[in-house]
Parts: sequence; C-alpha cells; structure tokens
Amino acid sequence: MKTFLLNLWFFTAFTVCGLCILPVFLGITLIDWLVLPRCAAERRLRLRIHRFGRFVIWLLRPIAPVVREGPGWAVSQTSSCVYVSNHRSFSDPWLISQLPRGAIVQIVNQWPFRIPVLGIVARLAGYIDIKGMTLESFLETGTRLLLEDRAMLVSFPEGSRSPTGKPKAFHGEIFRLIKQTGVPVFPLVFAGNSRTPMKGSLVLHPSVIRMRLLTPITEAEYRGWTAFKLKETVRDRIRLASDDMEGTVCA
Amino acid sequence: MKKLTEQEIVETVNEIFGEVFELNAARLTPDAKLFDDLGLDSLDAVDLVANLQDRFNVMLRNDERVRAVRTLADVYALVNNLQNELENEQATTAP
Repeated sequence: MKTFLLNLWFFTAFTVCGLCILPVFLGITLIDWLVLPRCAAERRLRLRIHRFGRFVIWLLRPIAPVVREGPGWAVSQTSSCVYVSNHRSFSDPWLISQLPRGAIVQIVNQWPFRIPVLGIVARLAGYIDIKGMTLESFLETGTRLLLEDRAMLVSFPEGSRSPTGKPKAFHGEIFRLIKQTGVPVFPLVFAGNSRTPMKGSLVLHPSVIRMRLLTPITEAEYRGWTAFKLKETVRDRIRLASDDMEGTVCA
Repeated sequence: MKKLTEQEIVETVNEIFGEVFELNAARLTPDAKLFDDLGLDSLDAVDLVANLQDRFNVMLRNDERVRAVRTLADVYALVNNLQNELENEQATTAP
C-alpha cells in the first residue's frame, strides 16, 4: 500500500510538473537554436537537462533518497573528464544529474533516442548514439566534445543492465577515446536502485540509492597502459566497489 | 615458416594475450571465455585477429570460423587448423 501511494505521488507530481515545465523547456530550446551557435545551444540544453534531472531526483526522495559517497566527490574537476558507470536501472541516467557539473553528454544505445520527447531532447543535446556510428566517427565526435567543447561524458560501457548485478564485460570504445584525449576517468558506482524501477516495470520500490564516485584515474597513471588494461582496471574497481556496496548497509 | 607444435601454439597465443591485453598468465586457461571471462569486446577481437595473423602468418580476417570462437581453446584449435591447411596446401602445390 505504501509503495502504491508513493508511486502515485511520484508519477502524479512528475506528470503535472513535466507538463508545466515542458512548454517552457522546449520554448527556450527553440529560441536557443534560432539565435545561438549549435555548440552553445547544445551546452545550454545539457545544463537544463541537468537541472531537470535534479528536480526529478528531488521528487523521488520520499521513495528513494540518494546518498553520495566516495572520494571522487571531493575532487575539484574543472576541465573535461569521463565518468564510467555500472548500469543498474532506468533511473541511472536521471541520477547523473547528481554529478557536480552540468554540461554532461551521455553516451547511450539507440533505444533512448526512441523514447517520446526525451529522445528528441537527447538528440538536440548532442547525446551520442554509440550504436549508430563507426569507431572513427565516435572518436572524432568524442575528441571534439572533450578537447574543444570541454564537455563531461558519461558512459555505461556494459551497454545494458546486468541481470545478476555484477558488472558485465565492458565495451571498449570509451577507453580508446580516453586514451586518445588524455582526460581523467572517474569510476562511478550505483547501488540500491536495481528495483527503482526493475527491468520491464515502472513500479518504484522504496530503497536508498547509493552513488559512489571513486578516485579518478589520471593520464599520469594510465599513460603506459593499453586501452584494454584501462578498461579492465576501471571495471575491476567498479566491481569491487559494487560488491562492497551491495554487501554493506548504508549508515 | 616452421610448423609449430600444439604446445608452441598455446605458448605463442598466450604470449599475444599477455602482450596485447596485459592479461595475467593465470587467467589464460583453455576454457576461459574471451568475452565473459577475459573481458574482450569486438574491438579487442579485431586487435587479436591482427596479431594472430602477424604472428602465425595466416589469414583470418575473412574467415567465417573466427565467428565461432568462444574460448581460448577455440583460438588454439583455429590456429592449429589453419596451420595444417597451409601445410597441406604447400604440399599439394610443391613440384
């Protein structure tokens, strides 16, 4: 009963607020696209998505408060970087809004682009459809975003949710991009949200969502490594943190 | 090129995995799955094929059998088969 009422509250609030915010959101986006250069319009849209994501996570608090932990939050990152995360739930892309800086580009599969409204917004914000491009064009686009636009990238290299909770094998494209650009990589670990919501369902089960941001791996550390070793190192650190988080109760 | 024994093939393939992917020798067991256990992805598979071609002087890029490779033992067997085919081919074309 409690879960039902909490879900009723969240989806009602989300729908009402979404319908109120959406026209303003789309109106500003349209004006930006008419008067600003493309990269500036994209950047401003990413910042708006970030703020909207924070609002959605704030709405979610009665069901699933978010706890931030780990040494990565204390690192003041002023230049571009890449966040590499495990993938536990549909809520992961929304939780990205908890990261400190806003102009974030998410690297996603094709399916998010097919979600009504959100898909169009993601495309306008310059989100990267990793399945829809060659490795060469991904590296070219990623390099431009990181080195020229000074954007932050977020990648879920498992590609899809792990059915067991253990991180699956990682796809390697993002690690080749990191090696090519020399930017720091932050391993980001989600726990507690695998039922918020579960795969194939929209029901949000009450839980505490934990986001652990690990110490970044900088170019000084990974310079002599292959992209494969970087990938495996990040995956190992995420796996260890995930095991630790799933095995412990949040204070 | 001198024909390698099965043991030499195993050692050379493992050497490639050590050099290209920096994998610890302890993980290189014959039943290790390339994608699930060793963490390779499709891009790594391309690197692997290129290195196998260079090291064993065989042509793998358009070989359909590469798609069926799942474990390290499959890699050893594939290289061994290719080497045997090459040897037979050379024997039949020799004057």
